Amino acid sequence: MLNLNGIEQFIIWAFLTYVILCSGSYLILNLIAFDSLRNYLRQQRTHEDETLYTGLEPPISVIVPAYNEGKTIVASLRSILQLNYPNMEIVVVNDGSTDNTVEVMKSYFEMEEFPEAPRISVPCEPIRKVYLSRRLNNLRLIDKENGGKADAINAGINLSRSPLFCCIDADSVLEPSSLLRVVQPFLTSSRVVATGGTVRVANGCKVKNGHLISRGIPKNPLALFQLVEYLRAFLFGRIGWSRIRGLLIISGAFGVFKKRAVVDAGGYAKDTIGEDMELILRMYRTLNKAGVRHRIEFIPDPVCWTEVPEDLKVFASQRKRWHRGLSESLYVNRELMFSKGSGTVGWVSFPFFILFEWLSPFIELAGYLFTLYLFTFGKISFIDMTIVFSFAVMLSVLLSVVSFLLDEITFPGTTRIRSIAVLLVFSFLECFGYRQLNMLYKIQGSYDWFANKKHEWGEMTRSGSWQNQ
Amino acid sequence: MALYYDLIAYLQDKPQFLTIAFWGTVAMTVCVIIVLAYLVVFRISFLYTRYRRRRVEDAWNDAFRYLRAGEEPLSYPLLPRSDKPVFLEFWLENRKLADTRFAAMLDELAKRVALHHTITDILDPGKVEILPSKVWLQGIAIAAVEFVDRGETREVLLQTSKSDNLYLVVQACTVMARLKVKGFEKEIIQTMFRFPADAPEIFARVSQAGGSEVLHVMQPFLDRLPHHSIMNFISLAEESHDETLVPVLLFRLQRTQHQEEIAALLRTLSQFEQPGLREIIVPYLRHENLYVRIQAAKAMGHVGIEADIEALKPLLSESEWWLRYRAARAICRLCDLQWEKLEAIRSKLSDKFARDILQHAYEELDWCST
Repeated sequence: MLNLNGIEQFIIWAFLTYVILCSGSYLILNLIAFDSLRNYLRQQRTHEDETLYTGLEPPISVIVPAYNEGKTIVASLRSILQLNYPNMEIVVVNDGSTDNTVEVMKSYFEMEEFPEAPRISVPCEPIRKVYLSRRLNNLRLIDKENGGKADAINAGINLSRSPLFCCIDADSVLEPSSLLRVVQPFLTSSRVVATGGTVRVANGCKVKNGHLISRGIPKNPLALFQLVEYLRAFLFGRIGWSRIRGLLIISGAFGVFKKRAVVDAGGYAKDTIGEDMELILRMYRTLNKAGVRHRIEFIPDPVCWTEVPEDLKVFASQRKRWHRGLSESLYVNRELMFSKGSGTVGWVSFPFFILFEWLSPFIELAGYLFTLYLFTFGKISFIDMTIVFSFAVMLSVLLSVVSFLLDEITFPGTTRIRSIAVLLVFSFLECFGYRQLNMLYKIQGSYDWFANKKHEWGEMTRSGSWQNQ
Repeated sequence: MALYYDLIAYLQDKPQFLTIAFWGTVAMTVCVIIVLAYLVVFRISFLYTRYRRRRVEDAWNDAFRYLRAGEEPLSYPLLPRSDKPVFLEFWLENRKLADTRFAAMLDELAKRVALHHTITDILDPGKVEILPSKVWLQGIAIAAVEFVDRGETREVLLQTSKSDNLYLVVQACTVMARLKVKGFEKEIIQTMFRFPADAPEIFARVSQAGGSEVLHVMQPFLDRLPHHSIMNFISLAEESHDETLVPVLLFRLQRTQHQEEIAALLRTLSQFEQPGLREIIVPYLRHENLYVRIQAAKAMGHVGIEADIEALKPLLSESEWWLRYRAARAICRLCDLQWEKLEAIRSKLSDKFARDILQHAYEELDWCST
């Protein structure tokens, strides 16, 4: 066996190099995150919580876009209301819901129509009415025509009163000190234009009255795979990117922005799916052009809990949307790559995302097909194939295990040993089915973008059981 | 093992990429095992620390309950040497929360269990070297010095403040500030310059511990402090409501070019009813920085007079809502919330947004007042 010609050998070397480079980069990011976390935790331990309130926290508008959230809006707002922050207003934007979202808000929070003087800084659909709560004078409801999530946030930006705004998904649960912590970078540097916090998987956790009362892991295998993925790629990867000033995403579920910088960039784009990433890239581009020195930071411990899909159909739709969003964002902002003054973002993160995020499903698929070709034509044996596959699997498992360790260091003792063992098994199993499935959905997402298919939000069914407890 | 040797033999005449993939897999497996082992060790050490703490708490909870009730405990449980640091931590937490009577009892208890000796042992650099593993313990001991203060421990505090470990230094400086140890201000200034990145937190901790007295002590050094420490200084001055600090704040306002400082100073100064303050604040309504203008507008609502409305009017047409709102509220306050006066101003405004925000601010204030 192994009668490989020069071209075949070259292709194999190319694949191997790609796998090593990709996993190696993520490993380096995790190690950077490890160092960053150690410093962060040391500082936290030294200075304790008593210095959190400085009294100079800038006012923040918390924007909550809501579409047909009649069943969960009260629970969500109760969760947001328990945030420790001295100067916060909540702006709920009803994006033309067809259910009773407005009625629920009006009756529970005693909302009354209130005259407003909005200045339209970013485009949005017409605003029907603005309400103010009689019970809570920092709570407002904006009722507007339907225009999608990005449009709802834009409406919230137009009506927000504070120089900073925070975007929170209506179905997320926040830790009480999360807002106070995520705003800290704005206090230490005037260059900071956006900060993000850790978003974690809420499936399997217990929530009562908007408070997270116990942590756990989900029972659903699909959610477990996603939990492993969240820890490995979305959580500690972002800490690493932030440390080297190359962060490209602030999660749409929880991020704080300087309003002026967002308005100058044109607000959220309505014609794109991955509006959170697109906005960050556009902000980088606009600020670079204007020659404004800026920073976008990620704070490891403000935790926002959000539910991941447990249904394959919803999962598929989400992943296709994400990859389509990634494709759109990278394409629209392509001039950022290797542009003068773009720093780590333009010279490292952007090419990295193209090479190891955007292209990865295609290269992965090509790898599988090429291996199948070699095996079918008897050019490699089953053992050879197993050795190469084992290498890729172990690289992936190592990355997952490092992220478990980082999680343990950040939140010691919170995940049970049994749960870690389950996650370890799933980090191994994900290479046999989940990863390939994910790859296919990503390819489909790229195809949808390439074919310019009309994008739809789809029905994001969530179990919501943890919200309603 | 046989499989391993078979694979080695199998790879003998194979291309190099297979050998790399094989050894790569072996290396990754070893790494996974090492990382998992580290994770397990980390968890065990965490659980052991928690277990020791529970053991001490279980053993001493009764005694502490008796002490809180002002009674002599039935017994003073024996304390294994290894548990002394944990006890120290437990004792310190109780001591910090204790009222005067309970505090005296806890101090007595500390003597009985020879806590003084433990602290002296830990703090004495001649006896115990400063090892990383001892750092947290030393930190606790230093915090405890505040309560079982003795002459020689003050010297130890001064020495510790020169340590390279930030955690210890912060603890030592905090205790020195609380005890007002002679010469502590010099040490704190030096510490802040040694750890410039952490200077704000050091200052915050120290000034929280020492109160407005520390602010007076730090006042001559204000120009030498890093920006964030000055921000802390201003913030604490605001909390202290100490009018004697006004000249210092005004002096700083004239000297600083830092926009965040100016905004914070305006906010703080507006809380003091000092003659001549409004004349100082009015020019800042035209400052280039948004936050400065916001704070100046807000301050005018407190210290301004009706004649200042003219200076506030242009801010009603600014693009930033928060600034328009602050200016509108200030105008409402300066008009004593009288709609007739406001309407007269409003009707002369050509900008729709300015008119709307003025009405909004009036209705909100009026709404709140009813």
